[in-house]
Amino acid sequence: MSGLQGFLGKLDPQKSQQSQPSAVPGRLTTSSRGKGGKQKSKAIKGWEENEAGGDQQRDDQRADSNDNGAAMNNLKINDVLLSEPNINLENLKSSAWCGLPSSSRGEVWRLLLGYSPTNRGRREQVLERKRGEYWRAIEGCGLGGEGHDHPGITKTEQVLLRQILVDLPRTAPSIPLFHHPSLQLLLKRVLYLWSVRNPACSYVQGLNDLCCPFIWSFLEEYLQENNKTLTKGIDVSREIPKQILQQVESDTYWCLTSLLSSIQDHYTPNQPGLQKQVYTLSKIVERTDSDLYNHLQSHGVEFIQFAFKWCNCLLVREFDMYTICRLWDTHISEGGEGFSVFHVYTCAALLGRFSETIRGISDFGDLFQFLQGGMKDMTESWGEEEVSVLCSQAFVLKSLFQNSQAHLG
Amino acid sequence: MATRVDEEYDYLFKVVLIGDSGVGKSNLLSRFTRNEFNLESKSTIGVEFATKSIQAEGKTIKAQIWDTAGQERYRAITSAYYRGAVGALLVYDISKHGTFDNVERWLKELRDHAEANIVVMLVGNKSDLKQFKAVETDEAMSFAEQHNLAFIETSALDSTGVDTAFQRILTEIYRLMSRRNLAADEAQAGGIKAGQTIDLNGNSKDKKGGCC
Repeated sequence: MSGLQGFLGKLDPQKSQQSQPSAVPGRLTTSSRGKGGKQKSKAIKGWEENEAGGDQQRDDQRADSNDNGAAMNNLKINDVLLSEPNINLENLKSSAWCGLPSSSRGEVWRLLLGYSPTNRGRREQVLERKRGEYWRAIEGCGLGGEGHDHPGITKTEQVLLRQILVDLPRTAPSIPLFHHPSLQLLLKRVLYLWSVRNPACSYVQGLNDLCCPFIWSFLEEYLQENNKTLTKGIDVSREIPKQILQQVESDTYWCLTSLLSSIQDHYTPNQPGLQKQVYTLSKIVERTDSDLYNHLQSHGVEFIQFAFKWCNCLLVREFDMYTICRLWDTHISEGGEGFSVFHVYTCAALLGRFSETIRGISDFGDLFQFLQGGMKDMTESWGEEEVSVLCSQAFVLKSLFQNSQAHLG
Repeated sequence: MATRVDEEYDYLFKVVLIGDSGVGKSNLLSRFTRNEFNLESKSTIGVEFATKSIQAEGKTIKAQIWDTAGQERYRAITSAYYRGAVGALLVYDISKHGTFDNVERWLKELRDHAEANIVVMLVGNKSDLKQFKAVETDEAMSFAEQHNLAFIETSALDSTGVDTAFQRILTEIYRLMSRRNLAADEAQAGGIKAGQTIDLNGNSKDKKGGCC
């Protein structure tokens, strides 16, 4: 965002300049040839006209507060990103663990998920190749074109596509951005390709939710390069060039693929990995917060009834887009174990955070309502501080239990 | 189960909502329990839950309704929730014949996992989409007769038939129960840890309903 870039600029003008698109290969940018400038000035004008909108102001403030909290961290991240020809992933992880500014989130996620190469010289070329590969795969699987009719696909694939089409309009319903026809198409192709390429899992409801933080972060990355910021109701046709949408789509596909590769057994039949995670969660809570555990037990609430969704959708439904992206910074920085291991400790920390509230509810229906969705009302006001505390608590729990599984037996 | 004083009831019946993905199960639930409708509600992951009390034949009946995910993938997990259910609303979308074709598979799910005497009502939802009607009322009705199911068409969007559907199935369960007049040990019925069927007159009741 402009505020943060200004802040960085004052401290080190050279660095600020370096962070322009041309200096960071692979960032989501349109072609550097002329055309972009014209689009930009037009787009900014449109942006300013919209500026009075209350929703947007609120969104701006959310983005601001999250970024200000991570301002110092941003300096470190820019140091890591820009100073060396080969990025040191360990350094990057340790900085990103504490939260990323939304201007560099997309780039760092691509790196930490192993999609973007650490060597700066190779980055542009590799990303270009992978993005091309994605689009060839889309053509190859019979899903080219703008419409929803794809006569070339098999009957099984038609059933799969139908399920995806049922879920598209139900993806993040409160965020109009995801309901723009271009983004619905984007989601359809990403989910379909992932599903046909991963037949052991195929499409599972909730995978659509997992695309949203990626799309959000990559769009934000592009907009911030152009001194704008993302809002829930952004006019996609006007603000995002087609070329950028295509890059966002292929990057979302590859990053989703990387994320899911660490938790494949969450989505295979009967979802064994997920069930194991829910079981571990119940054991952690039994050990660390027996009052809460007993309260849930005595009211007949089973962990599987609410934590199933937490593990299936990786908490995307429990937080708003700003907060879940921040939370995922830490998960992604945990490497391959972020979602398979650290996630369960985050869920335990989350229950701990609301332990008192939950223990204060004595009606089964009310308890269930709170755990199923009521929590989101309480996390809506969360900023950097609350997420940091949650992640720290998760870290402490992980340190206590991860290497001493006997305690959870 | 702890119960709020203002929510006293004579009977607690567990009812499940099943059927293909996207037929409107969650909206039937929210229309009935909260009088709300969301054109684009999120897909249900795992299960969701809501309660509502109604009056039937002078008794207060609290319905504990479990809304399940429709995707076939989730059936192994959602079928666990059939345990202890005395009623099932089997929902299809009147504008999508495929969802009606799958009704038989859902009946098999119930046969395999639910109590034998569960009361089942076939619900053709989205009756407001008249111009797209793909499942004729007669076709669904004769299917229902053939399989001994109650039948109704509803629209969660404009509320048509929603209250009637729940009222009818709950009343039917109550009547069957009264007719049998069983006083089995409630523990035998099992399943509803959260809220055993409680008769506030002091008698335990068998939760099992019966097929109509």
